[in-house]
Order: sequence, then C-alpha cells, then structure tokens
Amino acid sequence: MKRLLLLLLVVWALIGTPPSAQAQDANLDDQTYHIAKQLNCPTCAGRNLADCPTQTCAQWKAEIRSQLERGKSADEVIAFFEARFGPTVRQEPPREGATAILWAAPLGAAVVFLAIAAWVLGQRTARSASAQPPAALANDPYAARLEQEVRESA
Amino acid sequence: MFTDLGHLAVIFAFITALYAAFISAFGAIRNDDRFVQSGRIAALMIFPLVLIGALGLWYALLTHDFGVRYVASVSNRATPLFFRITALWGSQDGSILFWCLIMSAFVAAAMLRSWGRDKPLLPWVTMTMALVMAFFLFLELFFANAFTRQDFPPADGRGLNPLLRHPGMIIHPPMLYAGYTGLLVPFAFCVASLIERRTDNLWLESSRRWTLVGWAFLTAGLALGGRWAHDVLGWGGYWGWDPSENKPLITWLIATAFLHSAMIQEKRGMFKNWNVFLMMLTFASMFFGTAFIRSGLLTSVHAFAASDIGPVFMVAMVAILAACALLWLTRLDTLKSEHMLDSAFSREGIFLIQNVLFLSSAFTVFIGTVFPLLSEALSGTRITVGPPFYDQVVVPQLLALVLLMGVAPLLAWRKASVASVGRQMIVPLVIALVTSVGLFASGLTQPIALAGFALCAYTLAQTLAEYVRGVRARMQSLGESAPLALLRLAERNQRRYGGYLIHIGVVLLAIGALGKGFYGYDVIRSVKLNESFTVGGYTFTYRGLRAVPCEFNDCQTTQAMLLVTGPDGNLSAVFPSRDFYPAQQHTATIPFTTGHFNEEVYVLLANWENAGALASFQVYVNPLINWVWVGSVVMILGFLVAYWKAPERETAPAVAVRQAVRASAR
Repeated sequence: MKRLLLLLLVVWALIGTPPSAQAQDANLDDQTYHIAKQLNCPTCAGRNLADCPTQTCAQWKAEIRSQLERGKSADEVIAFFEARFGPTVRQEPPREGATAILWAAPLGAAVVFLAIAAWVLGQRTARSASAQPPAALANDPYAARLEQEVRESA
Repeated sequence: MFTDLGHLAVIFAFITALYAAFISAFGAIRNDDRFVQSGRIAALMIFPLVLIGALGLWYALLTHDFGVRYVASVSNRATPLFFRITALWGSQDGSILFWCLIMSAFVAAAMLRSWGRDKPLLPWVTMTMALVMAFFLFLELFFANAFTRQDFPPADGRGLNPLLRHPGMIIHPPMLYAGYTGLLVPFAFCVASLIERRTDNLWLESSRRWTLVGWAFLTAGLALGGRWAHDVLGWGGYWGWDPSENKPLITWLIATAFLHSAMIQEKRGMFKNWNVFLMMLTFASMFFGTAFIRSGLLTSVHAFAASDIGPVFMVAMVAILAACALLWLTRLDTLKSEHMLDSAFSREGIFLIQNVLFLSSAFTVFIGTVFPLLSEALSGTRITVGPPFYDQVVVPQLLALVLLMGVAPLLAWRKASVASVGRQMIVPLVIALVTSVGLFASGLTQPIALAGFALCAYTLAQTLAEYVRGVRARMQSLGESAPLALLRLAERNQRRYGGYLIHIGVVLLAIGALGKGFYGYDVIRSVKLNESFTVGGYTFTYRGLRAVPCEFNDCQTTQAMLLVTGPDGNLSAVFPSRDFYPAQQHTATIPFTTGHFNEEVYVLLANWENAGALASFQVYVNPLINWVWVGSVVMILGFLVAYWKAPERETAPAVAVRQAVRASAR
C-alpha cells in the first residue's frame, strides 16, 4: 500500500507543472512552425516539414513565412500548398472523398469484430446452458496434489 | 577469395534447405524415420553454411574489398572497425543475408531441442522452417546478392548511411529479425500440427517458450527503434508512425493477442481455431510488412533503396496465404473447442474482447500504413497518412487495452462473480479517483489526458494489488517474510507474475506516452548572438557556433552552444549540432538534451544565417518521456521472469479444482 501511494505521488508530482510556456506570443516563427508541422516534407519521407533539415524544406518554410507576412491566414497557406501539391502534403488526411474510407475502415472493422465476438459470446453461452459440466477430475494427479496442498494449508 | 567461398556456402545453404524440406516431407509420408532424421540434420546444417557466408562478407568488409559492390556501398576506408562489422546489415542485400543468419540459428536451435513427445511434428516443422529459410536464401541469391562483384572497384566506398551510426540502430535490426524468426518456430509447429490433423494443444505447449522469445525480441526491437528515432532523427519524439515502425508493431499486436488467447487453449481447450488463425496472421503480417518495406513500395525513414524484390515477395505471400487458408479450412473439424463458454463475464470472455481490440488496432495501423498505396490505386492520388490519424484512431484502442489489463486478472475462468470483482476494484478505483482529482487540482485540465492518467493509475494499482494479494496470502498461510513471499510467489507462477510485470511495464510506457503526447510542446526561436529566449521555465542564451571535427571525417559538423538556466536556477550548457555529409548530400540534426528525469528538454539547431550571427533552435519539452524507456525495460524484465525456467504445467482440470476450492472457501 505504501509503495503504491509512493508511486502515485511520483506520478502526481511529475505531471504537476502546467505548460504555461504554451501561451507564448504567437510570432511569425511560431506560426510558420505551426503550419509546417501540419505539412508533409517533400524530401524526408515520414517526417513533417518542420522537422526536416533539407534545402527544399527550407524553401517551403520560407514560402510559408512570406505568405504569412503578406497577411494570409494559416488555412489559406495550407490550401495553397494543397492546391499545388495535392492532398498528399497534409499530415492529417482529409475526412471527405476517397479518404473517408481511411477513417471509416477502422471503425467498421471494430464494429464487425465486436459483432463477431458478441455473437460468439452469446451463442456459446446459450448453448452451454444445457452443456455438460467438465469431465471428472479424480484421475488427475496434479489436481489431487493441489487439493491436498490446499487442505494442508487451510 | 574467402568472400567467394562465402557466396558458395550460401548457394549450398539454399540447396540444403530445399533438400531438408523435401526429404522431411518425404520421410513423414513414407513414415520412415531415416529420411526425417536426414532432413533434421540438413536443416541443422543451414546455420553453419550461412555463417560461412556471413563470415565471407565480413571478411570483405574488414579488408576493404571494394570489388564487392555491397562493401563499397556501405563502408569506406574511414569507417571504423565496429561499423564495418555492423555494416553487414547496413543495407538491403547484406541485411537479408543477416536475416538468413539469424533465422538459420533459430532453425538450428529448434532442430537441436529434444523432440521427445513432439516427434510426430518434427518432419513438418522441419519442412515449414526449411521452406521459409529457402525462400529467404533464394531472395539473397537471386534478388539481393550481397556477394556480387563489380568489374571496376572504386578506390574508396561510399560509407555507411549516416542515420545508421547509432547503437540503437546497430542492435535494433538484429532484435527485430530475431523477433520475427523466433515467431517462425510456433508457426512451423502450428502448420505441423494441422498437417498431422492433431486435436491437442501440443503445438502450443511445445512452442510456447519460442513464442515468448520471439515476442520479447520484437518488444526490444521496437523499443530500441524508438530510442534510435529519438536520438537520431531530430523530431523530438520516439514514435512517428512510420511504415517501418508500423510493420513490427502490427506483428507485435497480433503476437500479443496470440500469447493471451493461447492461454485459454492451454487452460480450457477453447479457441483452438482462433489460435491457429492468429498464428497464421502473425506470420503473414511479418511477411507482408517485409514485402512492403523491402520493395520500396512504401517510403520510410529507413529508406531502403527501391528494389525489385517486391513482386517475388508478393507471389510468395499469395502462395503462403493460400496454403495457410487451405490448411486451416480443411482442418476445421480437428479444431473444435473442448468446452463451451460458460459466461461472457469470465476470463475467457474478456480475453475474447481483448483479442478483438488487439486485432482491430493492428488492422487500423495496417490500413493507415497501406493507405498511400490504396488511395493511389483507387483515386490516383497518393494520400500520406501522418501521425494525427493514428493518434486519433489507434491510441483510444490502446488505452482500452490498458483498461482491460486492469480488469481481466480479476475475472475468474468460466464464470466470474460480479460482487467479488466489484469488491476487488474498490481500492484501485479510489486510487484512480484520487489521482485524477489531484492532477486536476494541480492544473491538469485536459479531460482525455486526465482520463488516461486515471486509467493508468487504476491499472497500475490493480496489477500491484495482484502481487499484494499473493504475497499476503503466502505470508499468512506459510509465515514467510514479505520479500521471500514475493520471490516464492513469482517462482511458483512465473508466467502469471512475469506477465503482470509486463503489464506494469506497459502502464509505465503509457504514462510516458500520455505525458509526451498531451503535455509535450515544441517551439522554434530565432536569436542573435548572445541573445536569450525562454521556453517553459528554461532560459537559453545563444553563445555562438563553431565547426567541430566530425567523428569519421566524412561530414562537416557545426555545433551551437547555448547556456541554459533551468527553472531551479541551475546553470548548464547544451550543444546541439548539425552534420552535413557531402558524399550522401545528407543533413542530420543531432539533438542535445537537458532538463531532468521527468521533463526532458530536447534542443535542435534548426538553421543559421551570416556565419552564426543569427541562429534558430527547435526546443521540445517532453514531459515523462523517460517513462517510455523505463516501461520498455520493465516489459523485458517481466519477460525474463516469465521465461527464466520452465514453469510447472497446470492442466485444465487442475485449474477447475483450484477454482472450486477457492469458491468454497469464500
């Protein structure tokens, strides 16, 4: 119990600091960075634009920045890249059109899997109502020993 | 010369594998043990032959034999000894040879075990493993030959991929290969059992320890991969849902589902059908993932060069799936359950739900991973699926699994009593409630994060309570001291308490993931020389850039120095750097971390102008991320507890007796 409480305290203490720094001034750097985080890098496979150190990415980031300087909103900047390079540039795939399948498939699969499980559970339970109890245990040496041990310790 | 000998040995290994597969099947059909033994010895011989092959390639790497194309592509004269050794698996061709080496070692170990009562399975196990072995050797020889010579050897090689020069990357591939090939053993047992039309649990019981080993290697491989990504890729995290991470994760999820549902078959003789299905799925996922990554169909941070092994893999994949399906469908009658499910509210019932969750998580990761290809086929545009998708769809399923970990151990086999389960839940639930209230009071208001931490607290408390209950029972009935009771408890039932330790590891990992996921943040700041900026209580003062010697003389390293004043006033310095590799035209951002155990501060040098008069830095604040590593280590420890020594086998009737006794005692 003590150990448990201690662990709990540790977990608690760890997470205690609120992320006040998040409320930093939203300057141009931050905005650029925030948008870059939502785009895929054209040259580093599997990384977002903000995290990729290549030249091409630097150009893209400069483009984002200059568009922001010209007063465009974040959505407009992303739309610009999407219009130019297709939906592939977005980190988060859109939820409409063909991509809707992506979002729907796991849900559909989970429902189907759960339905199967529910069916198995329901059916088996119904059948077992009339099923025989498990086979006799008398011949199992392990069971006998266990029984004896339990009797001794009691 | 020695290298060509190695090449020859691999050719012989291929022929030997084919022979082993053929003669074992022949011996089984003819029921002649001489042929079966011949097959066994042949399968055993694959390992030394592949080892000679690997030694041959190692020899070429060590002697800078750039006449061998592979050697020139992964090393150069400046590559130090250590990396010349590990360059064996530094690129596609060599890594397939290395894969063959590890797989053949597993095959040899399986052949050397004492077969005793498993004798009827031997020929078919040999055949299955030898066939898979032959396929990989075939790939090595005909599609990714690491021994190929080139007519005009270059004066120097290209050097090892800079991304791979990290200890995590050195150990991570062997771990994953060992994980996959470890899981080949239970698969082979499963196939053998089906061919023999056996109705018993022999294949499961005999291969259980192999499954555990495969699983543990896979776990370690995933953890090391995460560590590598954290240290080398410069993205501040440990997991990026990259195809080459997803692939082992899919296999891991299915294998974990199998480990659990196998228990039901062992204890209750149920779910036989399902277990065969899961085992085949485990193997198929391994094969499928390898096909996609290796063929270059899916691009990944690993960036194995696109190659033409894709179609071969696909053909083999279809053949394997067809063979598995055929085998499974024609043996359905032998896979009937020995018992019916008594109640949905039982260990079996909850295991079924848990299995469903594991599979649907695996499916989700799978669909996200292949969606780029799918969307290209469907609509002509390749849609990239980034982390946001997985975070929203997979993470909730994984959290549900954490909850099940805290409930399943309470449910008895066959039928659990609601009252008893409820009683045992009270204390952990109170702890969870106190945790969330406490966290809320200290300023955490994100509802999902709070729920997640409460969930972790509950499951952790419940799992620890399992130990407490066991220890207390021993102390009371046998008068043992607490540490002795704990030791004996674990010793008496290693599988169970090792398993719980793994669960604790998972919860710790989840705590780390929640902390990083919900409370991690990152900013980019541009500063002039000697200017400061503040991130999350840390003040960074930029003191300049300098060029430093590169480790292996093939890159240009620029290092920045920043003085850091922590929230507690402690002064330290960080040196994030950037390596530029002219030969590969590759830039690597090398992070430097500071902070404390529960809050990592991860600093990257993002860019600079005017020779360093102005520089920008990316700073990641990663709360609790270190618990991800702690959790991984605890999982491996749990495996060791479960594995250490063969535990006593409990039969299904014995379990029923124990439960009956327990029920009457209540």
